[in-house]
Amino acid sequence: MNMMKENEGALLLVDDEELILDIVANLLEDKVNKIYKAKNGEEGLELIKKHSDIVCTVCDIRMPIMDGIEMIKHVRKLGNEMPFIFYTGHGNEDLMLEVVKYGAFDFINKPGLEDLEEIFLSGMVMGEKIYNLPDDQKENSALEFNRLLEKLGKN
Amino acid sequence: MSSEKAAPAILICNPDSKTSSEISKCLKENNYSTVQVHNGIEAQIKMSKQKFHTVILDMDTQKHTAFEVIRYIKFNSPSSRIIFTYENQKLMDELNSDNDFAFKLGIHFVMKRPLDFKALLNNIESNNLAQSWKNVKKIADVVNETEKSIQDEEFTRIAINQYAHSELAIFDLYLRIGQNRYLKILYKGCSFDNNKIEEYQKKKVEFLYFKTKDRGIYINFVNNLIEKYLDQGKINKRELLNLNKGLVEKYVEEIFFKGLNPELYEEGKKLAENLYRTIKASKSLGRYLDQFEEEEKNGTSYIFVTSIFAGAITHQLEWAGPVAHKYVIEGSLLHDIGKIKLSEDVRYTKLESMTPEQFKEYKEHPLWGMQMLAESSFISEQVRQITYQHHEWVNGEGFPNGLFGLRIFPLAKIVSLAGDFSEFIHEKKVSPLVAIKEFIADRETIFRYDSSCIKSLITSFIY
Repeated sequence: MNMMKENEGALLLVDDEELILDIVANLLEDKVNKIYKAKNGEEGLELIKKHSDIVCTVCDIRMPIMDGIEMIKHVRKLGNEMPFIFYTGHGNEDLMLEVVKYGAFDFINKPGLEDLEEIFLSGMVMGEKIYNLPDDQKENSALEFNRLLEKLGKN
Repeated sequence: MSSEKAAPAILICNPDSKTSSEISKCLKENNYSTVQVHNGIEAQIKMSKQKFHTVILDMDTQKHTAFEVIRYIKFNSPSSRIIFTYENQKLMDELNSDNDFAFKLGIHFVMKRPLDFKALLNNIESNNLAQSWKNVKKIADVVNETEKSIQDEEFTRIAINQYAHSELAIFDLYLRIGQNRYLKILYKGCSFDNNKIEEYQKKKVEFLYFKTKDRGIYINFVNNLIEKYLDQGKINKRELLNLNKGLVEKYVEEIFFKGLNPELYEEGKKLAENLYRTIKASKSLGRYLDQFEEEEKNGTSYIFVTSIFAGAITHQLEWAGPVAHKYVIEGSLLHDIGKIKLSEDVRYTKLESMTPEQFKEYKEHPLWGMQMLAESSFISEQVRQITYQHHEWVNGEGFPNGLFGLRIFPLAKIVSLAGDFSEFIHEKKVSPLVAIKEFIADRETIFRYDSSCIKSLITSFIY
């Protein structure tokens, strides 16, 4: 991946296990401008409402008070389509079927947390892009496709 | 090709060092390499750094118990076989009171101590079938070709120009001369006679046949061969893609006929890695993409072409790194697995010819595929979601959930485009380069897909 730049946006971590919050924050703190932490979906939702610099969320599914599914539902109702990265674990298959209806950007497999860095960076890049989408993106895309096809024709 | 004999690595986890040394000695005398650890933490640390063919794990393991080690293996190294040893019969009887202790935990063999070393070796060997090609012994060359009456169901075939071989025939090879009639042209262990194969090619023979029971061996062999060629950087890219194509076909067949198990999934991961490396190494991939034509309508060729295009698209996307590549190709290989459950008339009917009832059934296959993959803990969530969402379109008109744009799993969008484009090429019966222009010209079509994916697809043809 060739985009390892510093992002302007912030990351939100949501997990009822404080140890996981600390471990993940520790792993990612050098790669992001700011990290917010929440212990459940309700806290996470409040942070999103309060801080417009949050562009990506890493979230557990099963949490007390408000779980990951409820949290993403509420965020989407706010009109916010930021990337959500969910922790997965064995036994969550039915929950996964539900949560993807609200747009899960990617998944991190607990307990290994492998691939965390790359997945998180992709999420941050996508999150920042979402806020910069032009209104007339369809027309712009069609023009760009035609330009590329012309280039193809010359090969 | 000379086959290198890499000793399979065995991890021995036993708190008693005398016992573990005895096991290690026996295994080393039989050409295995061993690592000994004496607690569960050490076992997990070793497994995080090295892949083991088999883990011999004792019930008395402490500092992370044997069950915690088993859980680690299930999540992180699902293709490693587990041989569970114990001494306390009373405790084992309690654990196994419903007679499916081993099955529930995914343990392959349970053995009481003191171990019968002959039985131990047999248990380890029985896991090693796919790699048996490494131990094929040279026999005197057999010149005569023998006619055999064998049921067609026992065979699989491969295009003669895609068949990969070693210096020795790693299994018997045949030609089909009629229904349930075969000509054995090469014997396992004989020198591989290239001249004979070339002669058959000149006579317009299209396919070579071998037994389906040897398909797993072939998959493992070709995966290793492709990896070796990539490491050496010597083979020409077209030949490499050809080898990959033949391999993908056999891999998909094996899944459809035998089902997906951890070992086969590991082969798939290796295949995906090889495809990724092939795509990455092909600076002028566009040239090869242009010359790919689907030779026949079978599901396996479509899977290969989809995987190549999916890999090519991912390669061009700025946000996609090696992890995304890995999942995209793995997902491409498995995304249509749910079609196994379609009734025959639906599976073989073209989409545009389907009745409403048939289409309703067809729309279930992504969910079925997801459910099939969810049964296996070794399959990643990313691959499951690619399978579940590969028919979602960004305009919200896809299925099964009618998701739109940003809500669709990004890697699924890649496979969606790659799969539909592969189908389009086949329908139009033109080269990919001709097809891409027509595909993009249809505005209704292109707004089904993510614009950055389309740009990447077009760009992958530019060289």
